[in-house]
Amino acid sequence: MVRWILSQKFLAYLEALVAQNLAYRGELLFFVLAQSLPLLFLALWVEGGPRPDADYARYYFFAWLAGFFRPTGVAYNLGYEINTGRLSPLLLRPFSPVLDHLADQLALLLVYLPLAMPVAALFPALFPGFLGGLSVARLPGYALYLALGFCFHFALGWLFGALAFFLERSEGLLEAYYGLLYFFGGMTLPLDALPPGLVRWLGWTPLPYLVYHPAALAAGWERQAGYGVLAGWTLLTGALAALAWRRGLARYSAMGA
Amino acid sequence: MRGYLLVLLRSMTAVAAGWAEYRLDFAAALLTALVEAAGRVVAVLALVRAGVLDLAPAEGFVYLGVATVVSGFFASVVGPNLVAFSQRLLEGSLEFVLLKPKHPVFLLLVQTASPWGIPDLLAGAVLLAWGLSALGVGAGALGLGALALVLAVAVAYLFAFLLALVGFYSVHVHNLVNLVAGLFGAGQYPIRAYAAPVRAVLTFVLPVYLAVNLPAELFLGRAAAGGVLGLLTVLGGLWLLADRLFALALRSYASASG
Repeated sequence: MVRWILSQKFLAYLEALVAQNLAYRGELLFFVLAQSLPLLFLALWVEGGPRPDADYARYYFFAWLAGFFRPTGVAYNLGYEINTGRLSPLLLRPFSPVLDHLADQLALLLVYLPLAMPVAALFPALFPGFLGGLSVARLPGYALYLALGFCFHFALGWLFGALAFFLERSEGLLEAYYGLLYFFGGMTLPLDALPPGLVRWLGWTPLPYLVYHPAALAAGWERQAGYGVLAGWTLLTGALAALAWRRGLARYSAMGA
Repeated sequence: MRGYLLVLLRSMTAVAAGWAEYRLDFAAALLTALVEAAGRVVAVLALVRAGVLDLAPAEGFVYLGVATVVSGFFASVVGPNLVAFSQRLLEGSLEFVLLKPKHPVFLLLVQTASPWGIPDLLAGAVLLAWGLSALGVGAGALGLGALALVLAVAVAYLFAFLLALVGFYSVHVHNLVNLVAGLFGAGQYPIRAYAAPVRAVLTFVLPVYLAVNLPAELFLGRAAAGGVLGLLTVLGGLWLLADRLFALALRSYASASG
């Protein structure tokens, strides 16, 4: 599988999927804008928060950027394929459908990032001290968080998608997860604004390592690293996803087959 | 008018019958609403404590309650209808609506509904009741606020419909609806707490102040009763605009052949 990923075939496949996703760039632009909604909270903090404006701008910039590395759309796509029986032709091919979805989500990321550029350009334009406080030395740690977060969300999306083998619909669970991430992951509020007892408890969940810690690290607010917790959750979610996939395939009967 | 009420009633009963299909989905929506309500309460308390919001916690709950009700209405009514509308444009099945003897905009606005927003509507009502009872708000302000809330929800709906007319020229409007719903969510805090440019956009470009903040301020007795008249005027204006723009956009509609 690893060799296949590195092979030319995967690249050709990726190229095709980039083109396919580009066809809906108007739609994706709305997604980028909807993704930027938590920035409304930035407008609250710069008006009344205790830190300098540029500090908040850097935090919310990195929290916002992390949002594009969440390939949970795989849950909808996989669930749809299972419900409609479109999974069947994919199973006939000599490689796993995981690779289809991985290529699709990577392609989506490649289309999103250029679309997000205009929003990104607003930060240095609106906040004069924005660029001055950035440090290249902190970026590898941030990138590691993003990579782990991508893997975690892909596994989570696969797990929720594979639940469609057993339940008629499973999208609702993803919504509940996003509700948690939105308020308790750091998307809307930096977690240091929440009660310390709650934050300590949240430290055992994957939530703060997906938004708050990466953004706080890149913004220079803190140096703490929690890669281990996130890696553990990723492995656990991946194992559950693989289990749900195997069990599900065994009972999958496509369209009444 | 009686005909329109009858259509509304029939549409609602048909939709409710369809809900019984996906009970698990509803349980998940309930879970989501609980998680989000808890998150919103924690967030508003944190913002009050940090001094970002110049409010008493109970007042914060009133703002939050109104916004949660509006968000539930978006999930239950606005979203499903606008998505169904765009689906009709995509498939070229708008004729089924145009051929009926009632106003097409009205029919498009009441064609479906989803139970997804009910948990949010309940959570919003609880937050609102909590805040209002803690503050001891009188009956007059309660009536005025409730009336304003109904009008405000209609204003938000018509405004979102105007934006959904983009569907005549572009393919999907699903993300657009999400975006508008999210922007109305900004009204969960008083608009005056935002930085000036955002405040201007939420007041003058999008009717977020009108549709979310104003009912809360009428509940709290912070806005004059004339605000209700203002809402009524805006609602009438939006309806006229929706009627005209729909007719205009219809010229670009080429049915299934387009």
